[in-house]
Formats: sequence, structure tokens, C-alpha cells
Amino acid sequence: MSEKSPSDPFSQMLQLYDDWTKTWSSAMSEMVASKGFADSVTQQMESGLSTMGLFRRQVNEAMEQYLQQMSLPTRREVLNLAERLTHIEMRLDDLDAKLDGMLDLLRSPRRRAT
Amino acid sequence: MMGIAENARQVEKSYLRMAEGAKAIVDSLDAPVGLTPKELVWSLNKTNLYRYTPTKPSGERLPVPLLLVYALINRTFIFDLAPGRSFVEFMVGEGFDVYLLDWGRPGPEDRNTSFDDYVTQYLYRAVRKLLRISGAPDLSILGYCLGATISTVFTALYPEVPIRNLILLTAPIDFAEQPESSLALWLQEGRLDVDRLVESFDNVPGELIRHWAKMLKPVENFVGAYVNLFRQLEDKSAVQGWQAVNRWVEDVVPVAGAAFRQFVMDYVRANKLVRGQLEIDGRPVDLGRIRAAVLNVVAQYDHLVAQSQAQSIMGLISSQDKEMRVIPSTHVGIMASARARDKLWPEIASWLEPRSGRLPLSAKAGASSAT
Repeated sequence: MSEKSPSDPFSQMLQLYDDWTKTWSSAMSEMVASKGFADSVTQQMESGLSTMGLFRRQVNEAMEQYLQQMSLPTRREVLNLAERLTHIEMRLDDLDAKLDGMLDLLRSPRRRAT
Repeated sequence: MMGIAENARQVEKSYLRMAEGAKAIVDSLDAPVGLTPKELVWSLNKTNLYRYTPTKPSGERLPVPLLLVYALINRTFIFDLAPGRSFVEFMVGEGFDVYLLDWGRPGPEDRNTSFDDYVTQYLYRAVRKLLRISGAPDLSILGYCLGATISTVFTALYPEVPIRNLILLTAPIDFAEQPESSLALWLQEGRLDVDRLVESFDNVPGELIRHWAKMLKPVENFVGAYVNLFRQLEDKSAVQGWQAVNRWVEDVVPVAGAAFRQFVMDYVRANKLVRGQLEIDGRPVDLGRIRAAVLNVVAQYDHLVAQSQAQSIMGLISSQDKEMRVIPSTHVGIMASARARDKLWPEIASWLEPRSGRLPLSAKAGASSAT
């Protein structure tokens, strides 16, 4: 850094960061790891989540009623359908594995010999 | 006049460097990653199992396949950042038959997928398929971060599955001692309301978790990372490396709501895995049933997973062949740093290679099948 000209704004910025880091890095890490900061963050989050949850519940209920009146599938129904598809996919995978096992038995030398 | 001209030149040069750095940051979001050739061999829901194309002829390859399992939070391309910086590329070059399990990006329909489900519904089936298509009687698993926790639970839950070697990288296992960090504080009982968080989002947004992780070292992560880029702008290779890592940091995936809830409640807060209180589908998860050869790699400067969280497993498993190595590295540096490339990866390969050969027939007789 010292090789650079002092009029080089880029180097000055990097130097500023180095100086700033020495002072603030550990102080900031300590600050965010303090119980006071954690309490403050979780309280803010709690408040945000409460508002969001309330808003979301109301929108979902309204939307669900509207979609039902329009004879359209609701979000909950689509999600349930997707979950069922995954379960079917898992059962197919298990069947596939069982089939593989049966084919192995049929192809095994001992089986062929008998 | 010369002074003014020189100053103007310096200002212009600085401006151009700033612009170049800003462009490098923006371009990093599209940085080419995960380029090692691979083939999709199995999929279930969003989970994909890939096999990397071997570069050595079959006679020179090691017969025991290696499965890489990553965490649920970031993307799996941390294993395959870029040519010359890829753990996968290195291991394939060493003659390992490498498979990668990619959990994919959970959607709202996956909100009920629990941490257990990743073990019993996905990893179990992936291992079954891997053994089937590879034709190998056993396999090695390398788990990184939460992927190491999942792999550990899997190995303990299914002692009948022929896992010959288990490699753990920065594995959060034991939460008896919490590090003095913001993340540990936020996750404590009485602070973060996990149920409300999951209820609000269905799946916990990756951006939120990334923000928590960055807050552990705010100056370094929010400012220092970019300053480091500006310092090395003249080194094209270093910039490419930075871009690949930055893309990985920024490219997050949500965590399935039920999995997040269960991990915080059962693992972090109740520490059930280490206390021997964890049961899945009525089966106990007993770490004492792990008999595979274990290499446990712990990062000395890891601010996400403290040493105490990763190392106590060594006294709880029954493996005769077990080793722990503490590496002077960070949580991400263990896979993304030049030191990892030069030292840790060859160490992992050297440890695994003699344990990946063909077993004598007498030893094979005792091996059972995953199915």
C-alpha cells in the first residue's frame, strides 16, 4: 500500500478499510454476538413475523374462499397433490428396487443351475 | 501542471478499477461453476444423484464408489467450483468413482419434509440406487457441514448398509457447548420462535440464513469480501476464483420448514443425537453403531461449526479405524481455498485410497446389501 501514490483514491480506499477493520472488526463481531443485540434482533423478527403471519393468513383465507367459489383448485389442494405425487414417486422407486432384486435372483448362477 | 495531470490520471485509473470490480461482482452471479462432466443417474422429487464421468480406465479406478453429500442450505457446486478449483475434478483424477447427491431446491410442497426424511426417504434410496448401478458391494460417504450430520445419522441408523468409509467435513454433531456467536444465541430456546418462522414462510428462505451466517462476522462478510476482490483485480485467475465462491455464497436455497424446525429443536436445542435420544421411525440413532472407517476433518477457524461441535463424535462411535484432523482453515476454506487444494484434498485422497481397494473374499462375506 505504501508504494502507491497518496493521490491514488483506490489505494486510499483500501488503506481506509484496513485502518477501519483494525478498529471495528472485532468490536462489531462482539456487538452482534451480545445478548442485547440477539434480544433486539429476535424481538424485531418476532414482530415482523407476527404481522406477516396475520397478513398471510387473511390473504390465504380470502383467496381460498374465492377460488372455491370459482371452482378452482386452492393452493392447499395443489400442494397436497404435489405431496401425493412425491409419495407415489417414492413407491415407484421402491418397486423399481424390488424388481431389480428379483431380476438379480433370476440371473444369479445358482438359480440358473437349478 | 504535471501534478494535476498525474492526479487526474490516478483518479481515472481508480475509477476504472472500481468499475472493473463492480463488473466482476455483478458477473459473479453468472460465474461458470459445476463444469466437471457428469450424468444424472437417479432422481426423486427434487433430489438428483449424479455420477461424474471417470477420466481413468476402469482397471485403474478404485472399486469403492464415493458419494458426496452436502448441506441443505447452499448449493452443491462448492464441491465443483471451477476447473482447477474442483474437489470433484481432483478426486475423479485420482481414480475415485464419484457420485454427488444434490437435494435440489425445495418448493412449498416440500414444507413437511423433515430432517429425518432426508435420511430415510432420500439418502437411503440414493445409496440403494448407487450400489445398484455401480455394482459395488460397499461405498464411501463424504458429508460436508449439515451433509455430514445427515451422513452420520444415516450411518448410525442403518448399520446394515455397507458403508466402508465415512468422511466428515466440519460436521455439526454435538451442541452441548455453544460457541459465543450470534447464530448460536439466536437459535437458543426462548429467542427465535421456530414454529412462527416456519408458519410464516413454509420453507425458511435461504437469504435469511445467509444473512444470519454473514452476521457472524459482519465487517469481513459485508465489506471485507469485496475489498479482497478489489485487491486482486489484476490477477484474472484469483478474480475467477472469487467469483465462483461469491456465486456459491449468494446462490442459496430455502430449507424445508419441517427440516429446519426439527434440526433446531431436536439437534441444536435438545442435542438428541449425542444424548442418544434420537429415534427415527421407531429405530434408535445410536452413534455407537457406526463401525465404518471415519476421517473427521475439523476447521480450526470455523465460525459456523465450533471445534467442540465437530470433534466429540470421535469418542461416541465404535469404529476401530478413526482419525480426526484439525485443519487451519475456515468453514468454506476447507473446500474453496488454495490451501485445501494443495494440502487437504491430497490428504483426503491419501486416507481414502488404501481404504477403497478390493476387500479379500473373507471380508466380503460379511458385507450385507442396502436393499
